Amino acid sequence: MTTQVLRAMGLTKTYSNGEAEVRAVDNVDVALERGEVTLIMGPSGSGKTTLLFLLGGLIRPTAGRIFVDGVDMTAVSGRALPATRLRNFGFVFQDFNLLANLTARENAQVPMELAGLATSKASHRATELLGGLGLQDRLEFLPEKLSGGEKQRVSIARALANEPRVLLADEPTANLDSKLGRDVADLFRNLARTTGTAVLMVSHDARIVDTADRLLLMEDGRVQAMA
Amino acid sequence: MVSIAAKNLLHDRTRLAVSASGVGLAIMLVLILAATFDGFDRQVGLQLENSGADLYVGQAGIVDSFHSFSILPLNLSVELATVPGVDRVCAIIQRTVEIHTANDEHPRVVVVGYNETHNTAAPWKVKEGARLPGEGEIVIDEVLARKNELSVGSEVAIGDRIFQVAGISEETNLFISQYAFVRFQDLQGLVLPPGTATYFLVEIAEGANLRTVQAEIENRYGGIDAYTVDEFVSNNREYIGQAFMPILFVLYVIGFVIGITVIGLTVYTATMERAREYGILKAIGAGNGRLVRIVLGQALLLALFGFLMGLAITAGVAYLIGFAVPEMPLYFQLGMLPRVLAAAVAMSAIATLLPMRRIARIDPAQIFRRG
Repeated sequence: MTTQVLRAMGLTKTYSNGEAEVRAVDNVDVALERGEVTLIMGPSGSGKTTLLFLLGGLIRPTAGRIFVDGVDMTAVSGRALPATRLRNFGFVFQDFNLLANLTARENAQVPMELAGLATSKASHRATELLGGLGLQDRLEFLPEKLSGGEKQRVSIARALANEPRVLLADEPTANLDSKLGRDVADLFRNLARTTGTAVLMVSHDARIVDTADRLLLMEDGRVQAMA
Repeated sequence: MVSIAAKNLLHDRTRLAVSASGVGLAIMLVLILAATFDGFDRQVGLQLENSGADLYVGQAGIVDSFHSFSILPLNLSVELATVPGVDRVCAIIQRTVEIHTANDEHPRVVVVGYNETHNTAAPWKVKEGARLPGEGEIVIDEVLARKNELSVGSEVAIGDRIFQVAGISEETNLFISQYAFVRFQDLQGLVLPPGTATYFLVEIAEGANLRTVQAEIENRYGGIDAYTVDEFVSNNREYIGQAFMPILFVLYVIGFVIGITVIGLTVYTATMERAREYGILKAIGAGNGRLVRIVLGQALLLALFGFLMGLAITAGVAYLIGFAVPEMPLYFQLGMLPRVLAAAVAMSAIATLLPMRRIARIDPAQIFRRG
């Protein structure tokens, strides 16, 4: 049985900049395995965030194809794409991006309700998820009352809410101190191991390299090395 | 679903209160206008509907109570009584005149000479004192009494004749003037030439056909028209509608546009402030349809708050109008409320068009871009 949950082939994204064409991502092949943590590193402008956008279905590739559990995402219509993201991906953002007027629990239950789960069940699962991340005492707190680490854990709970096949994290440790950053990276690793979710992180943070199973180095839109 | 719409709206309660008040004012404007029109519409029919007549007979060409008044010879009453199917005929006098009060005020009233024998065209509801005026007495409308500091026992003059106020009637206010009632005999020769009346109120015999009697009266006598009470009331209402409806319609539209503008501005501002959060929801997997429902939810909630606020403001304004402008006949019909609520919902739907377009253009990838 294959353990590959996402496979991208010949992925290319070009932008026009006046008369010039910029190849932000240039013919990249990537495969994400179940239960593995993959870390993409590279200098600013190397195309790693654009690659994350492409893999998460947030932007369309100029060329190439992306398969998630055998389904070609590049063939999914624009109208159906949000539902595809909802089912398959969880997103963790550098700035946490919690909804300011919702409590921690409500933030975590939003994706489940978007997916059609009843409010009571979504609330129950959100409580469980947040409890599992050590936030049982912060369930009814608004984001403004939470610390940076707590916010990031709420955003992780939200990302895991629909048991995604792939968890995509954009600089998840950038706004955290070194200890919290390390804790979050360890958390991703443990989640990948226990839930089987494939985790893809984009980061500049060299301190978390050892939490990844695979490391991709990007430069000028290309994957230059794998480790 | 976690009510993102409600939470976004309730987050800034001051703005919500100001916006709901704005919508409420628009709702109030619509309700007060409707109540004014309905009040007028109702009042112009009440006197006729309570006259006790089946047919209203007047001079030919007189189609309603407003344009001119009818003068007919009083002895026509005897002839009308001979028409098959007629049970009885009562002559009445009805004219707009000035009355003179002890305070040297000269309000214009529609004075009605009621038929004492048959008790027709008399006041139908009194607040105080006698319902039927006796010789040398007058029953005046409550608004007229209040505006001119008149009460039971006060004296007023019509021409050179003094009448003592015997009663204060209700539902007899016509906005621009009010009704007053005296005995038919007391008005003869005072506001019309002797031996004349303005209308004849005809009651038909049991079993007689109203239309047949109406046609027979018109065929038998030239120079007169016979209307059923419903027809005459309808003519009065049509006149009021033609005179006021265009103005009311413009004011309705203004109220509607104000409502749409307030809801639109509020929802658009709230949407713009939360554009990044809508981007987050899009990135997570919410489609445009879901986001539009959130925005529409906000607009509907605002319309609901505005509607409730509007009811409260309307109650306050109606009280003030009753105090400051008592002649304004406000008549609130419960049936109007669902229509105004529906209008508020329509305002919400229209007001969300602009934010919807903005939301549709939000790029979910933008939330990854920092700074």
